[in-house]
Amino acid sequence: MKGQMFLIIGILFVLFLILLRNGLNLVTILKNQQTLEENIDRLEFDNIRSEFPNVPIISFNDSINMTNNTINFTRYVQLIELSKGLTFNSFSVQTAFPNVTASVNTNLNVTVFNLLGEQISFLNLTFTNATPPAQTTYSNVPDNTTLYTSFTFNTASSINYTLYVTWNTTTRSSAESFTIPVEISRSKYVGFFDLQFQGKLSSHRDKFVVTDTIQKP
Amino acid sequence: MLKTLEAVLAILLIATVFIVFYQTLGPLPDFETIGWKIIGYNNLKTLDRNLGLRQEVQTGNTSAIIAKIANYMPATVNYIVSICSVSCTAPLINASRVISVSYIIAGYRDNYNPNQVILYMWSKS
Repeated sequence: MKGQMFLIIGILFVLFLILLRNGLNLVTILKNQQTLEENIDRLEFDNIRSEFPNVPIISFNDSINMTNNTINFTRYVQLIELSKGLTFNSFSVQTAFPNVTASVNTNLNVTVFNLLGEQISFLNLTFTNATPPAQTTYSNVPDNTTLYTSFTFNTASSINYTLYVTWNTTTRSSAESFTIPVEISRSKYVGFFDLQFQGKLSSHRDKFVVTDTIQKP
Repeated sequence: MLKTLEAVLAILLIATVFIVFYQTLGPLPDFETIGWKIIGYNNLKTLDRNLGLRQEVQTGNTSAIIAKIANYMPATVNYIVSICSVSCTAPLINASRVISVSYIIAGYRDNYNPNQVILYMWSKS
């Protein structure tokens, strides 16, 4: 009888082990871990996303610095993320114009920066408010390339213009537009950014426009 | 003799179940270090928004950053702060579990000078 007790205790212990194992819901635990890891990815992207508008502000006194520093910062972020084994890509269109005088032709300088990680096979910029309406088209724009162009506008009063941007690669395409608010006697910087971040477990993307008044155009 | 056999059978039964059900379990995720990362990151973010992280980064004052986040770090964690541009040399820390979070800063006031603040954390025990 005492020997059978060993078996009975053994079976009860085995049942306890099985119940304990089933109670360990691994799927839920791993999902929780994934959610937390994704939070870290999101926090990292938030940092990058919130830092971009700061670059033109830091460089506020010069339109060339605003544009060049932002391109430099884009490359910097990519290097940092690359060193962590993560991927950061970006496409940006930055515009700047000097002080606007009513009814006088003003140049809208446009800088496009492709850091999408692949070649843009077709890129079109259309400025319907140009005098006359104008568009610029590029083909086969390699990764990590900057393009410069300009349009001319002429307005008698403050007005909102729109710049249309279309691009496609062999795998992706995008059609965007953003507003360029023109004010008489003001010089402005308007940048459109499309940031893409591939973290450890999740992908993040944001498109936004940064508008600043330039102190020394 | 029979008693011994039954005891051996019971032990074999337990061992078999343990091996079958628990061998494939693998290590459970390390939630503690993930929590450190989130806390560390949020501390740097809060410091940036309210307590002058940019200014300290600009001057390379890591002691000031450490002092400012001291009240918000978990009591069980040791930490140090490093400021660097792109290639950052990892400090020598004698601990089994060391994690780090980095926070990117583009510059301060009118000075464009991108840097990253790296917060290294490890257990006190």
